Amino acid sequence: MSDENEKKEKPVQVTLYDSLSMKQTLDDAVVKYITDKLGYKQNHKMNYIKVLLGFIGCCLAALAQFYPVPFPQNKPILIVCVFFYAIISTILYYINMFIQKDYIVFAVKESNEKEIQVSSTLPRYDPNYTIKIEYRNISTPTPITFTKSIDQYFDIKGYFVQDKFFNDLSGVFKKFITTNKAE
Amino acid sequence: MSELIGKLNPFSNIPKYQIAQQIINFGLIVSTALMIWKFLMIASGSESPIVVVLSGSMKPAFERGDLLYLDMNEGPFRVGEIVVFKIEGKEIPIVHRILQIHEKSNGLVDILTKGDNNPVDDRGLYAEGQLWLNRNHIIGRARGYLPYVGMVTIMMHDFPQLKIFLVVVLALFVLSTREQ
Repeated sequence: MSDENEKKEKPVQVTLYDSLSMKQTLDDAVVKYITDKLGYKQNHKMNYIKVLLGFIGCCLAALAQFYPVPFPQNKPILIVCVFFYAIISTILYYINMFIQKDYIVFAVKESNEKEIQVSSTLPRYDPNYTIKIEYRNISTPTPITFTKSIDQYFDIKGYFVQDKFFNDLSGVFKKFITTNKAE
Repeated sequence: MSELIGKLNPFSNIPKYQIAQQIINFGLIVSTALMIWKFLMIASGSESPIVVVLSGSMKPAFERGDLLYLDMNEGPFRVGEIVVFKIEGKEIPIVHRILQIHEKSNGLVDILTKGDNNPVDDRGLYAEGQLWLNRNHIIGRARGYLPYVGMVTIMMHDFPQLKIFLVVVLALFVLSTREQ
């Protein structure tokens, strides 16, 4: 297949010691691994909801600003807009704090199989990247966690060593699937 | 060279749909600021609840660059109150003290103002032929103040490039940082 040969992937380079971009690189790699190698499909529902709510919020703000009636008379419209905007803001905050938390991806293999969620943490000033895989909405199967120091995955110039990371990931996922098949 | 461009371009690593999220994020920051302003408008009853003192005409009470919080309600005006008003045809609001009030039997008022630091009353500032201010000229009564905080606004007014520069910097910053 000549297409795959032509699609040469550029190695990702990050600034060393920038833990935020390193975590994002690792998270992106996890997502890529799940979708490309394992054939999972991502569930973007939460993200779409957030974008939609954000868009409605911006529309409310535009309405409040550009409504053609001058100030004291447009008070009812303003009150309505501010009120709904506050509600939307609260919902978005709630989604970010309590629903999305540390999770970097929700995915399913086939449409009727159980959905998995993967969360990752990279604490400040700590080189250990921890990844946790578990089933969504089902608490009984055990989540699998895996920790490794990120210096294993980036070379001196800051290039991300994808193959090494994918090797480790495949071990983790195999472990997850076998542990949970034993139910 | 292409590495440099790759590093400068924050979009090269971001998956497609997240670009919409980034733009919405920027819109939400602007919208939140706007909504806070609208909320203040509703709470204070004034069309411009926060103004910056632009001239030194109220020294020593207020200096150029002070920030004022305004209130506006149906209650009567009183001599000695500091009010902010706008003259027809001039868009800059003026912060001065009420000198005289004449209440007519139908409830309308004629008001004369003067800046504490000015030698004469404000008749010279009013519109052509206007001798008095009325309630509809007044944006609000000064209720609270923060010294010197408004200097930023004055600088942005004097140097509009600064305003554009700040907005551009903010936009770039928000658009190029991803949510985790």
